[in-house]
Amino acid sequence: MSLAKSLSTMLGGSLGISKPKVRALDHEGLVDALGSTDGGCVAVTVRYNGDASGSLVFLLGREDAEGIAGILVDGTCGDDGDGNSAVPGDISELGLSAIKEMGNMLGSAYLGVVSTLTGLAFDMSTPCVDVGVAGAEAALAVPMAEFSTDDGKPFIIEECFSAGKRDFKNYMVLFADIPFEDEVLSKLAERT
Amino acid sequence: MPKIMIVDDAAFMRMMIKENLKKAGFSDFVEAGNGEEAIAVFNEAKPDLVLLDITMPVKDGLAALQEIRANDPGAQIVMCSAIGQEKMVIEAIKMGALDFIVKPFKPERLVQTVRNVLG
Ligand SMILES: [Mg+2]
Repeated sequence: MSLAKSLSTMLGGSLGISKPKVRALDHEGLVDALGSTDGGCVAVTVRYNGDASGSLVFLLGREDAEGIAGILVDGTCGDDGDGNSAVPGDISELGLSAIKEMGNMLGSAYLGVVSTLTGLAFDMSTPCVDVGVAGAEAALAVPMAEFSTDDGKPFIIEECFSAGKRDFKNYMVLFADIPFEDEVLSKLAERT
Repeated sequence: MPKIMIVDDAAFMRMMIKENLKKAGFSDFVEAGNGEEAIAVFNEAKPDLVLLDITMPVKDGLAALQEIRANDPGAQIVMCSAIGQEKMVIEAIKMGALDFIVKPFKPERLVQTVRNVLG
């Protein structure tokens, strides 16, 4: 499951979808990889506990978040009828609620895959959403400090897709207090 | 006209569900934003069908399901789960939920499930 697949399931319509890329990155690599969020971002965080604990952070650059909120709330897949994609603007309460729910759905889906692959069981929290003027580095500071271990790097799942005439990028970063095997990473890539 | 209660902590999901059911001809709705509200609204509104989210603050969907069914064993409840919540869905069915839909869902799937339960 990915954001693009979720949007096309819920709203119908056609989207240009590419396969998400999954990588394990250290702190610096992670900050570099989140380039599209430099001008501010929206971050949805869910925490999980159980056989392992950690956080999943769903990240969108500010403009991408505005566009996706518009698509979800207006119910059209990036097309306003004139062939234009959603116009960036302020994110409404409803739009923010939509993005938060996307973070919740995707977090649950990814955690479900990790659970299946590892045999570990998790409980997931309700999501929290943050709109930040700072980039993703600020949004990731807390889980980074809490869950970065020497041998366990966070996984990042990066997706690009197009809706209407616009391209969108989104990221999911998975932090854990135990290192997951590389095998989990490659299988996660297969299943997303 | 059957009365449908939509329970979800995300205002966006409540809107989305309501819009899709309106298009399918339903018009009588009540809403709640968490499990505790759901129990109060259920007791007051006595809906014919409850669409109940699982992950919610204050009181989650499974706890609300249990209380609603304890007060009204005839309550007709459909769970709105996410991918990855299969164990909780099985639990909910054991506790008396009639069916479930998995988010993200296609609008047709939602409408079909609601029609099936309402017969
Ligand atoms: Mg929820």
